[in-house]
Amino acid sequence: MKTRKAKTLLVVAGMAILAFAACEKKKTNPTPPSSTGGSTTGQPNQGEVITDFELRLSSMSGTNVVTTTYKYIDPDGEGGQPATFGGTNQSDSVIALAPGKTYTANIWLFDKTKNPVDTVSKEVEEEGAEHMFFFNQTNPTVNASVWTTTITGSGVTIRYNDSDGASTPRPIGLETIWQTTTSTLTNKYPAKITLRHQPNAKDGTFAPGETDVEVPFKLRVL
Amino acid sequence: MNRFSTLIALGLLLNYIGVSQSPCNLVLKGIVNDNDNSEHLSYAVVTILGSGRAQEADEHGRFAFDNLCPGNYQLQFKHFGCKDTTLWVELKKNRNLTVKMPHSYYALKDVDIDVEKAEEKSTQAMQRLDSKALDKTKGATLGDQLKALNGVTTFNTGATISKPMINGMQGYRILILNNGIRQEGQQWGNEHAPEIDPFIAANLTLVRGASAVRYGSDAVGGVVLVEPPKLPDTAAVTGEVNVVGATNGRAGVTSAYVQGYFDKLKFFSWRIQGTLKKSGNLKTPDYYLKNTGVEENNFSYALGYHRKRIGGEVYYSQFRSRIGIFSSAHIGNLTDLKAAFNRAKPADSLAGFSYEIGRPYQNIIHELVKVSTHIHTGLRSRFYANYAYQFNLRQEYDKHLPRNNALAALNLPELDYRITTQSGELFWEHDNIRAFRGKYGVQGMYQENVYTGRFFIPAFVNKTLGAFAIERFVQAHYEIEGGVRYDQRDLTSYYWIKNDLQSPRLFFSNMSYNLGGIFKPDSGLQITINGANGWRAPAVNELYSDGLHHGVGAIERGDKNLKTEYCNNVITGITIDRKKLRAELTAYGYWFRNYIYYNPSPTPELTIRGAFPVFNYVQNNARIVGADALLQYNIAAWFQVKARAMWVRGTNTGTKEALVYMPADRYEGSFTLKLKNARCFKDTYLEPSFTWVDKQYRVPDSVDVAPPPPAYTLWGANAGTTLMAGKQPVIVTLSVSNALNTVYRDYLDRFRYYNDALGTNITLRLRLPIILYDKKI
Repeated sequence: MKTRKAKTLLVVAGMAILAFAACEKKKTNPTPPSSTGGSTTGQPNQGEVITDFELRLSSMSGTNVVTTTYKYIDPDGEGGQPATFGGTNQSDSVIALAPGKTYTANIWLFDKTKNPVDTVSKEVEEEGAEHMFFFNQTNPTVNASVWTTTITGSGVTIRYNDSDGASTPRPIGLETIWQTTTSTLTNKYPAKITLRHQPNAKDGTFAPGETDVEVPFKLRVL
Repeated sequence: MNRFSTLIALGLLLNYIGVSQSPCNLVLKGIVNDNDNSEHLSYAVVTILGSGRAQEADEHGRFAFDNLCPGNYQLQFKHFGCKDTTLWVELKKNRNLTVKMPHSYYALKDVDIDVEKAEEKSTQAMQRLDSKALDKTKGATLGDQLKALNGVTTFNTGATISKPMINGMQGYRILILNNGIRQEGQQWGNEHAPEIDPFIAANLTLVRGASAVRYGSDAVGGVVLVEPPKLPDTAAVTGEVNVVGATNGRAGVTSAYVQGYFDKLKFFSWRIQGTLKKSGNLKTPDYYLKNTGVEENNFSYALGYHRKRIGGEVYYSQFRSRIGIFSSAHIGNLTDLKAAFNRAKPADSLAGFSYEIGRPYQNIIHELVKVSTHIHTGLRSRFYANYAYQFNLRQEYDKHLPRNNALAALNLPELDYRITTQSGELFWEHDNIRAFRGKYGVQGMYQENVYTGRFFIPAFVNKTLGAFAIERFVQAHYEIEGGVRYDQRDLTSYYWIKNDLQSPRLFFSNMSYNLGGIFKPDSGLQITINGANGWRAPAVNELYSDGLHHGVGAIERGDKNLKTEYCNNVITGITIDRKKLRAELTAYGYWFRNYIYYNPSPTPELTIRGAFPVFNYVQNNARIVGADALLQYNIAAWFQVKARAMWVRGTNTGTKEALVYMPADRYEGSFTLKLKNARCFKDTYLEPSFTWVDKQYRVPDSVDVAPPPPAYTLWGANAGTTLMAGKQPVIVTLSVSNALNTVYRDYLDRFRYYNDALGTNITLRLRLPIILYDKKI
């Protein structure tokens, strides 16, 4: 009887131990990872977000280069707090251009939740073969390897000024040249800038892939 | 059954000897009734001990021995599930006996058959899918299997993720009991399917209506019981092998179990079970859907110990699955979503097939350890102590790797949630004490959720405690049940606002009540009615979610000031079971106070990624009423027609608008042709069917980016047979779904924004019950 009891106990204990040993080990710390200021090494899968979009427009004023920066900031990436334009009273939502001028436009993307700040646009450049910027979701026209698009109504022509370096080279749009013509007074024209992520699908059109960045700017030429 | 027939044969033989000895001519007859509910016990075996005479009672429990001499006789009564009963009868003249057998769930030997639930019959609408019914859907998801039950639909995210919906409710409002344990996982997402291997189930039972008192205050919609087979109690080693192959997705599933009773080590029984599943890209009528494969591997084992007065079981199950998410259906902003909807073919539709699962995908693990024990505290009462540990891991991998190459090389999930649940219960139940049957108990749970990666819902610690009491008054033609329960819930959540750790603590407590009855004027008619109230504390995502829910492509905002949701529910059912006709009609109504739901904000929110729709959790009063019907008519023994219908109406009584995501009206019809048994083919049938689902006309304004899809009709068929390969039966089932390759989309499928539903699928299933060893053979 004693041996049977012992055997019984042994089997039950064995099964119980087996059951518990098979379980995944878990962390029992209910404290969540910090949402801001966490270092990338501490939280490697915290997620990559884009918090800051900057459009830097440079033009010549006499012999000086004058640069104006337009910002669109989403401090915690998509979700959480909504995105806002920079400047006083969101004045950055309207890009102010002068007639008959040429601007060099550079786009910068940052992840400021990281410390140090992550310059996402560099990574976009590295992966240029799967990224492309579009204006008003329009497919640019190609003429003798020159990629251009226009902002309808405003008389502004935008020429892509970079290349993704792929075997069939296409632009990325991190650098573009904007040419204005005549003044359209106080009229504002939509100039939505969209960064499309198109892995293995980039073909110079807007459709493939999905949106990484979308900034609903307007512009005027006065 | 073999045992009974042997006994009878023996009895008849001895009877013959007995007759030759004596000229006696007295008659002893009687009727065997169930002591619990006074129902007649069919086919009880009655033996006159000593004389060796035995017979089987007829279906009404009647027996009669003739040619008996005057004297004292000891009669023994045996019936499956009852304690053997013996009694002395003095016979001087013909006698008519009424014998009551106590329902004590003792087996015929000195081991106890594992515990049957005392509430065999629910005062709520209850249905069961047994192994024969499950044969027709094996290999499908748990949700899709449950669809064979009245009142169940599913909320789908494509064809591979389906959440069961009962009476128009899903998620937190329904409860799944996995081998008696509340399934605890990450229930908050519509794209989070129950983490259960459907092959574990020998039975799937559905209890509809608010079941607060028995199962916990939040189970207002209904409860699904996933019940493994009973562990064996006789010396044998048996098992079952299932093999399933399907054309769509080129899916293959194998599942098997082996179970036995230790001959040497008495009182022990065991079972091991496992399932492997793999399927690839699914196909709509016109194109393949990229990255829609599923891999699943699950196993479980159980060890039982059963003696006359005590019993216990250790059970472990592990569920692992990797589910590919159709890449065109992953997160996009409003512009992308509208473009996807207007596209005739999704961007990532393919011409070809592949088993490959790439990003985006979900990786899910669920583990359950259950230790249960019981002790008989008397002939008709038992005390139970159960403990369970559950761990659930949910990892979601976004479509794209991080741009940063160093991070990309790690290939980590962007969302990683781990929830650990420990629960325990103590309860005592008694069978009929006079005409009362009842159950009293306490239950507690401690749960922790942690996460890494992107924030969506906070980490939390959730503690619950409940106590309940249920009593039932049982009579031959009616039963009345009343129950009361107290629950409390203590929820502390942890999340950051800037650099400040927030840890709000919320406490909820309430009572719930239940009153129901079963009326059985005759054996072919049963009416049930149940009234219950329940309450549900707001869930953590309803309180604190704040962010972009990638699986849904919307920004979701909780409200930390949400109040408790209350619900009153009445559900009534009529079952008519006549010789040729079977009819089931169920009607129900729910009246909610502070119903928590998902309300769209009129303006989308601008993010750096473009505009996203915003949904806020709000509450208002609401009403859900519905009915469903089943009609089955046997025109001939070999020909049967069947029709089902289902209607649900949900109304936000505060805003006078329809509730979002309510099932559309649904009608099904089928007929069954049974073929004659041949030498090698038994139980052969052919069952063509159709399903018609109406368009959902009742939708709230401007919630959806796309209007509900039109009505559709699907044709299908099931055919089955039991093939006798020598002594080995092989149960073969062949099913065809969407036989005409109809192009359609379903309102309750989130992928309807992106792609058509699946085209034709042909599934072949083989089930082999096996006997490896049987002491009797």
